[in-house]
Amino acid sequence: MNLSTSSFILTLIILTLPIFTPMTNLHKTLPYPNYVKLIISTSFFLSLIPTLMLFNSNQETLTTNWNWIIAPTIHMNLNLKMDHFSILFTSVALFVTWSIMEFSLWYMHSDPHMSKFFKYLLMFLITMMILVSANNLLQLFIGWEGVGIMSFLLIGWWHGRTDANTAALQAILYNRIGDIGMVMSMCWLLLHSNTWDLQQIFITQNHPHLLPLMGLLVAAAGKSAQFGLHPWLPSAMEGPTPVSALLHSSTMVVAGIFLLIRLSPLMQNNQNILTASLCLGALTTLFTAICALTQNDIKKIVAFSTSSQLGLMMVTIGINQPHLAFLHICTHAFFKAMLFLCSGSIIHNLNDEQDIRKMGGLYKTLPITTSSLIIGSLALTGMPFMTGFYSKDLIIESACTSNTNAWALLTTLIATSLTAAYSTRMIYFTLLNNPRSTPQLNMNENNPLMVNPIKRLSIGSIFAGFILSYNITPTDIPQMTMPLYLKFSAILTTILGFTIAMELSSMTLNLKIHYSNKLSNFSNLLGYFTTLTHRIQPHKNLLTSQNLATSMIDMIWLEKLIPKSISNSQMTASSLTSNQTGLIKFYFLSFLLTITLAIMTTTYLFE
Amino acid sequence: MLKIIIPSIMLIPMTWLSKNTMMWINPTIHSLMIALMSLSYLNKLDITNQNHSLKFASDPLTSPLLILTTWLLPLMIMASQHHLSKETEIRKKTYISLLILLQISLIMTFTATEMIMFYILFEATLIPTLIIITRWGNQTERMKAGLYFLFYTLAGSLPLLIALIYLQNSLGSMNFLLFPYNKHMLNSTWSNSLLWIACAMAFMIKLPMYGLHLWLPKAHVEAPIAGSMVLAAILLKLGGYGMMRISQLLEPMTNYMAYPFILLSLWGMIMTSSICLRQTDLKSLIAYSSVSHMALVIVAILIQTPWSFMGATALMIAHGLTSSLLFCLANSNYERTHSRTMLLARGLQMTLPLMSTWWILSSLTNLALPPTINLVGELFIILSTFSWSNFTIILTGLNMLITALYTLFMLITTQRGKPPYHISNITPTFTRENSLMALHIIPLLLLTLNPKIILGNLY
Amino acid sequence: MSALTRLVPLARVGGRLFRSGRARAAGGGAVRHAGGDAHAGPCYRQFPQPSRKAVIQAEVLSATMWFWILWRFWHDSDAVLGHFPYPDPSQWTDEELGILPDDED
Repeated sequence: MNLSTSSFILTLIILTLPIFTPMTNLHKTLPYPNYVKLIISTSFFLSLIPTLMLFNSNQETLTTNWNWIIAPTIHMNLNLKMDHFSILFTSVALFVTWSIMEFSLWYMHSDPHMSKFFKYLLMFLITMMILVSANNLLQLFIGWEGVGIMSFLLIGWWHGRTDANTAALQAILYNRIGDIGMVMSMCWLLLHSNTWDLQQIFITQNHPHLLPLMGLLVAAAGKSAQFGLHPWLPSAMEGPTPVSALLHSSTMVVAGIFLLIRLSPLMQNNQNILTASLCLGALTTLFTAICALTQNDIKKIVAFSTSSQLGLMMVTIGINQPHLAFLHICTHAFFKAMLFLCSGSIIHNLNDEQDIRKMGGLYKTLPITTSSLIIGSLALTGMPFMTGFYSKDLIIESACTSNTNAWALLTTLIATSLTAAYSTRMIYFTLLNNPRSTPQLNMNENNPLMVNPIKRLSIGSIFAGFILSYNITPTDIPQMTMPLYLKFSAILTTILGFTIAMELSSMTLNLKIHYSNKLSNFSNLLGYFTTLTHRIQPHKNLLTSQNLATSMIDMIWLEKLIPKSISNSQMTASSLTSNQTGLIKFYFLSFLLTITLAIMTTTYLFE
Repeated sequence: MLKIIIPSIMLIPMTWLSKNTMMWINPTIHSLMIALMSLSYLNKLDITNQNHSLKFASDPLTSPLLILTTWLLPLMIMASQHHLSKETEIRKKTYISLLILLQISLIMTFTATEMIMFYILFEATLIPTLIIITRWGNQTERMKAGLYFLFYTLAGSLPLLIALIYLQNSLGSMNFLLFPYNKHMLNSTWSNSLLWIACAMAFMIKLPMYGLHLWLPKAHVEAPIAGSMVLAAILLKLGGYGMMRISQLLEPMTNYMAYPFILLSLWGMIMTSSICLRQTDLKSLIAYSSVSHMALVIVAILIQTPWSFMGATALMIAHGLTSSLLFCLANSNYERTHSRTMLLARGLQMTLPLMSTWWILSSLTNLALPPTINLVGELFIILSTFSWSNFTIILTGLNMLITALYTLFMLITTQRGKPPYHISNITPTFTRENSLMALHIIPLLLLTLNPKIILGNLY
Repeated sequence: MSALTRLVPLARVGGRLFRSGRARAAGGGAVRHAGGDAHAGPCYRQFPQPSRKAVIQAEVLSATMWFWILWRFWHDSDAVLGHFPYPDPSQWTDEELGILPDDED
């Protein structure tokens, strides 16, 4: 047992402490939220030990700790996988969460249930850690579902608002659709390789059937909000901003991509599934980038940009570069968390104003937020040598040089350029120009609880990509050379997006807004997707369950067919056979009948 | 086995001889002790048959159900205190005695080794349940509910009686222990098909299967809290238990006789789940959710693989605790708002935060959040149906989706949102209620640590 | 349990290392202070002046970013401009390709 294993397990164990300690006296000297933050920072520093050992010696370990069920032919164990992915992701996620927790000390300070909020955030993180460190599918599924449920609880945090409840339910609904796929592939893999342990699955399944792979893709699409199952992600913005930050950076939405990365040895030999995920990712990244272009809610812009980046990760899976996708997850966590924290700072300072049309001129009043927002946006767009560059540029380059289909490549490039465009738009509307906010202003960024996390993350957004990419042994050979126009394609499209957006914004700022524009409506209303899937379909489904299941079958057919029909037939029969009718005519008739019968029988019998 | 049965019988004189002040406490404590005593049966799981006597024995399939039964009696007594607070002492004692009677007959049903004996006790459980529903229900519809309950069950079990007598004549013995050694194979003739249906139908009505389930929502809605609890937790499981037992006798027939019933159950699972989506009545929603979960159990039992049997057993136990808990929670709402309508009790999280925790936990177990035992059950069943036919994943998966939806919908409606004005001065939760919920949750959580003990026969 | 409780002060000391003292003054402690330490007063129709410290911090952040970008570009411009020149087939001579001159044979 070396230091790496024990410190990794200790990292995970320490995280669970605050769940159990509220009833003890252990943390009474400092408030529970601060205690949780302290625990997470401690855990982060602990997790650096395995990370540095990974950087140094590139070691991977696997532990089996506990036998949960031994049913015939299957053993379900608790086992942890400490490899490249889990160790690195743990450190990144803990760093990001530490900052988010500290930020929410400031952001949620007036919330009456602050301790509960922190506990939920912590549990959210723990479930993600379970997912990441799992070595078998069941354990992964535990984390997978746990992440979903915790996001339900957190998105619906302000449950006095109907929207928050709807958004929470939506998140669960889309996630459960993904879960169907997950359960299906779990079943298939168990039936065909008789185990849920990853390494055994990889050994036995070299060329798996398309069915479990499709299941995995559906699962990832549900969790990572790929096209078709994406609407829950922007709705999830109903949650408090720290929740959005956590949800979008290091937990939940990357879980789907992470699943595909984990199971990439299954997928890499199947060209069909790779193409499917490539196309799905390309579609997602373009569609959500288009949606982000016309949003006016600052959090929704950032949310759609996450969705777009998730699409990019899916594209990376599609070109069979899971390691690059993982690198993008890690780098993305830094700047996306920071963008959310920045927007949280802006929203809070403007008295809960989220509409970017009512902001502007904030560079004068919120200098740190401004700097960080710009750093984050540059990192997001893949400015050379910022964090995003190290993953995004590589992704686009390897997409350009692989023999993938040109449509997906073009779509991805357009989306890249749109990334720059909506980032510019956001910066332009929030930070530059004249203020359009309410005249009563009371803003400052003096509170270290707010400034420190943002600063920390912005430092991360500058340097993390460099540190990560230079310390990981490359597993796939990076593209060393390519024609100059391909090399420049990523940067050129980005610059194109920047300039066009800048020009358009400054040109149209003072123009009268021309509403009924079909294109703008398409983008603003999320491609009419919400109307289709959230109005018509639930209405149809609920109507079916009301009319068909409840009214027709249960209340009419089943009720009529058995109990009512039996009682009716009994009633008719009894009323028919009963002779207590009270009519004297019938009594006489029956007398007549009996007398006639008696006479007839006697006459016939005794003759 | 007498060590459980005799103390249970002695509960009745103890109830009648206790002082009025001790009337609730004495049976609760004593039945809890009986429950703790019965826990020892879990310890000897590897022994296939624990022959305590020739008449009563327990095996891995029986023990979890038996313990569930004994565990539920103190909970039922605790739960119905408020419901009976306006009644006279004699009536309260009668009520408790009825619960105890039900408990005794249930214990004997689960442990009986002889099929005819099992049948008699199976029918005997009807009587106390019927009295509980029709005497202590809340509305006049309880009479109708009682009628439905009685006639559905009887209509199913009379053919079973005939089938059992026939089998007794042809086999000579109906002892469970001898079933595996039985060389009597049912060849496929029309009369044997009828025999199969006669044997299976009684249990399918009890479970209940979709199409024959109408009595269940009615009985659940009208029954007092203890009635709902015992119905959902144990009486339904009698059906599953009986089917698992008798399926050994119906050997080759099940392979093809099962098809229509499996399909009906799979279809009914979706239908009842979607009925749940539109329920306004809290108790009725939980009742329909039971039907939907039991449909999975039926499918699993009919598929007849080791995995499916294990899944069915696990799901029965898990569902027993979960649905009983949900009924308790619904009842605690009912006692405060005096209505079962969900919309009238919104936003309770603000006023009853601890109760809200129980709600969240119970909803999460009801939608089979991993790693609860509900998930173990459902996953095993989904696995075995998937291996039976790949297409079933569409239906079982859809059911997972809808189950999550209606459960969380129920949670959101009752706990989240703005509390309406009329519930602003409701009574706070009692320790009795909280401990009642805790006694449901704790076994659920503890079983999660080692689900092996409720997987039934491990083959 | 008592052994655990005795460890608490130790954990607290460890915690202080990670937690900046100012954070404790503002958000820590039993009383929650809204806002933070230095309050900027409310303003009407004019910008609230950010504190000098904040401006400096912001400038340092931006400067770090630009320094990093330029510094990396100075040292690692290959990452943007391409590591190796892409081979251009039209530049390849017959000799390199092993094609014999036309006047041979």
